[in-house]
Amino acid sequence: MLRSTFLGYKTATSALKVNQNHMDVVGQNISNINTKGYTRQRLDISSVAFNTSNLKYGTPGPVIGQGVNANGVSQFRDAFLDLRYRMETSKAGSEQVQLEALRDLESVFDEISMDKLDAQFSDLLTQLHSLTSSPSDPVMEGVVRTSAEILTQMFNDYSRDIETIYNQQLNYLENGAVEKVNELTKNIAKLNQQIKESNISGNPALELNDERNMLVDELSNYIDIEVDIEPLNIGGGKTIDELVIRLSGTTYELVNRNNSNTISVNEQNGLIKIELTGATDTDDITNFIKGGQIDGYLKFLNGKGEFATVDDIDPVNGYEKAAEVKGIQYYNNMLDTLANKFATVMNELNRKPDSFDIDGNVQTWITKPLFGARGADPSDPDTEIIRAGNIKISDDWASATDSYITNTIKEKAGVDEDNTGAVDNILRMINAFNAKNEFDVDRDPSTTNDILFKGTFQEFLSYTTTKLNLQTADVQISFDTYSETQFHIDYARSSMSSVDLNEEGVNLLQYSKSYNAAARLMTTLDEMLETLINRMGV
Amino acid sequence: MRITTSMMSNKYIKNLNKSAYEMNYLSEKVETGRKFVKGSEDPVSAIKAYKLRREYRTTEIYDTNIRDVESFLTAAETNLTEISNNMESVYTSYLKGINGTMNDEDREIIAKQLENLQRSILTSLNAKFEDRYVFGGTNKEEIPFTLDMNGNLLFKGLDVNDPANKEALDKLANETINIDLGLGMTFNGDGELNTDTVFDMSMSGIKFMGYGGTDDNPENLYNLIGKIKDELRNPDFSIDKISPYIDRFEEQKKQVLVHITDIGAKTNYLDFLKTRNEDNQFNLNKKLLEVEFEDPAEAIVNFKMQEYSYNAALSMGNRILQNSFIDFMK
Repeated sequence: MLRSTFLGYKTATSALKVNQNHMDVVGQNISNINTKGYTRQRLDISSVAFNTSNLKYGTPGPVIGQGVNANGVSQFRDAFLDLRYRMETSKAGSEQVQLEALRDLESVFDEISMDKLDAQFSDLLTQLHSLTSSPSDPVMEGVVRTSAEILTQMFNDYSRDIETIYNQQLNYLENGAVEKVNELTKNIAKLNQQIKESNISGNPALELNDERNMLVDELSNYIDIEVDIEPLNIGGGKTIDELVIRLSGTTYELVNRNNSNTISVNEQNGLIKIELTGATDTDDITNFIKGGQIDGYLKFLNGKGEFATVDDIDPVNGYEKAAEVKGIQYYNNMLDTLANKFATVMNELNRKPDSFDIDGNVQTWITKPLFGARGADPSDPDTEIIRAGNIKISDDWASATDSYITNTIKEKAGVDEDNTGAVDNILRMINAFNAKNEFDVDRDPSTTNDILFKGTFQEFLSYTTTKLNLQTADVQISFDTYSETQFHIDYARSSMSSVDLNEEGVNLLQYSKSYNAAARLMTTLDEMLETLINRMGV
Repeated sequence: MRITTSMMSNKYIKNLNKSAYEMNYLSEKVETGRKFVKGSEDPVSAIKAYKLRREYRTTEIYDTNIRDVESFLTAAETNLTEISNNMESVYTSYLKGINGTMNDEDREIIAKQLENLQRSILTSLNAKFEDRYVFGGTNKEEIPFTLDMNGNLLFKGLDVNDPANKEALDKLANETINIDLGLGMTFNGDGELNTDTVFDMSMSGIKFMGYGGTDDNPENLYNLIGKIKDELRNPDFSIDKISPYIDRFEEQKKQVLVHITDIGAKTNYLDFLKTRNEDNQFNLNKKLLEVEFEDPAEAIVNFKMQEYSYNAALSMGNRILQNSFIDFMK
């Protein structure tokens, strides 16, 4: 077959051009070596074959290729690694939020390096013991009262601190995580639009893809998502990919192509709910969220443990996990239970006999409560339940100028007997600190199937603190595991996608050599033509 | 696996950070001397620590209580010895008085002496320790021992000779002031104290002074002295008339000595309790140290080791991140 005279020039030009493109891609890779989210690119090339299909006759002799062609630029990226990375990120996100919140909560209860509630219980006990050596003494009782008052204030402080943490975490959820999700979905939708437009015009928009991937990664930290690629036929036999992001395992769409939906926080019967507002309607998605920071916030804010009611775990109106997760509401309820039990027991012990029967047994009692609830109606103080947040010294005790603590409940030997030095009832109070009380979920001693714990006041406090410590340690381990896995998947992802200087250096050398070779080809062809045209036959 | 520049630096930074965190954690241990600063670091030790602290605080309470009771008993012993000495003086006085060689005037002098001794005994009976009457049982505000118009003794306003008061006085004589000294105080099912689990520090004066009888035939030591005194002043003084009172007096007087011995026994028991409590305290303190506090030498060694590996990591970084192929290109 005849070879056209200038055939080789085309091959040399394509080689020069492709090697130039190679160098440009290397340049792009090297310049973005430190760009966050950048995926290493490569030039997709193929060799150009000599097209023989339009020839009338067969081709005798060799058919030689016609150089090289650059088809486009693509990325080194593994969709499966992305998927796994996002799953782990969701898990780590959830644990991280819980860990930080639990640590805050722990600092309320923790008494390792500071004397707090447990020590104050012991202090009150010490003061009651001192009272046995001078009972009925208003001064000594004043010391007891001060100690009891500090105890109630500590309960109040704990309760206030817990409330602060609750509000803080709710604020983080509302103005942090939820806002962030809405911002991310909005930006992803916008990027979807831009990428689609670029794709239609034939631009792969790799950098925009990197940016979108990064946003999706970030989104998976806040909420567990599922990313779907939906092909779109744009005519001419070409399809492009469009992105839909759904809440994992559901049909709730956070991003649908160019549109994003917003989520919002809704407080309902003391539970935090998350709602998804789409184009047409609003759905409650609280019970479908299984991972991400938002899941962590929901667990921490709604977790009630044994205190969860049937309404609380309602799959529609409640929070399904409320009973299985111990969050801030659980610990708050534990503290309330302790304050209530303590006040009830001590109030009961301080009552004074009013009359005795013939055998010297008490017939009627006068109540003399030591503790009350702040904000209770003075005419009917029992209506307000005593909790950690409202426990206080009873008004009668606070304003007592004379002895108020009942030192004895024994009948006097004579009507005028002075028994102000008797201590039998103070011993009863002291004993109350060593007595095993039953702590109920609903503070109703008549129902026996809901006992949380049986022990002394201080043991119950330790039990609560230890529960919290163990949970914190547990979440810490989960978080470490998930974030370690996350790091390793990211490591594997980097192994595929990140730029390596050695490699780019080698490529640089290789492509510059190839470029030189292509140029040399051109020169050689030129010399050949020179020979053919100018020197032949001279 | 393909290893890239950023992978190396990322992993290096992560490990360096981990190492720095560990170093910070260990240095905190050296500085505070504690094994853990937060409960979640070691929940099991934390729960132990809370329990040991509570037990330790309780031993401190018992220590104070034991010392308080000890001081009270010392005061009781001093006053009771005083009373006992006065009783001996009464004894020697009336021995002189009933001597047949005495005339009325001599007996009047002795009667006067007995009167003085009665006053002195009354003072001792009403002795106070801190704000409690030593022999007054549960009395704090009212003087337990007073006299009626006839010079007869009243205990908490009750005539000790009046048989009608017998029941009330029985009750008062057996009054208890129980103190929790760490004997494992418990209440029984009826809400009544199990008395063997507490320490009774009451010293009801009426118990050793005696009560009951009649106005003419008192059982009480003070009233008996009064009767002896009256008989000494009686113009028809006779041994026969006075001897029943003397016999009764000598009989009841023994009770005072019995009580002094009783205090001695109680003090010994307190000494035993104190030693036991102190041993307990010492052991708890030792355990607490073991659970909560780090051995300083070990903490420093651990820290030094970590510092060493941190430095090694630092110097490694310089090497890892130094060169690439680019540096060798010509």
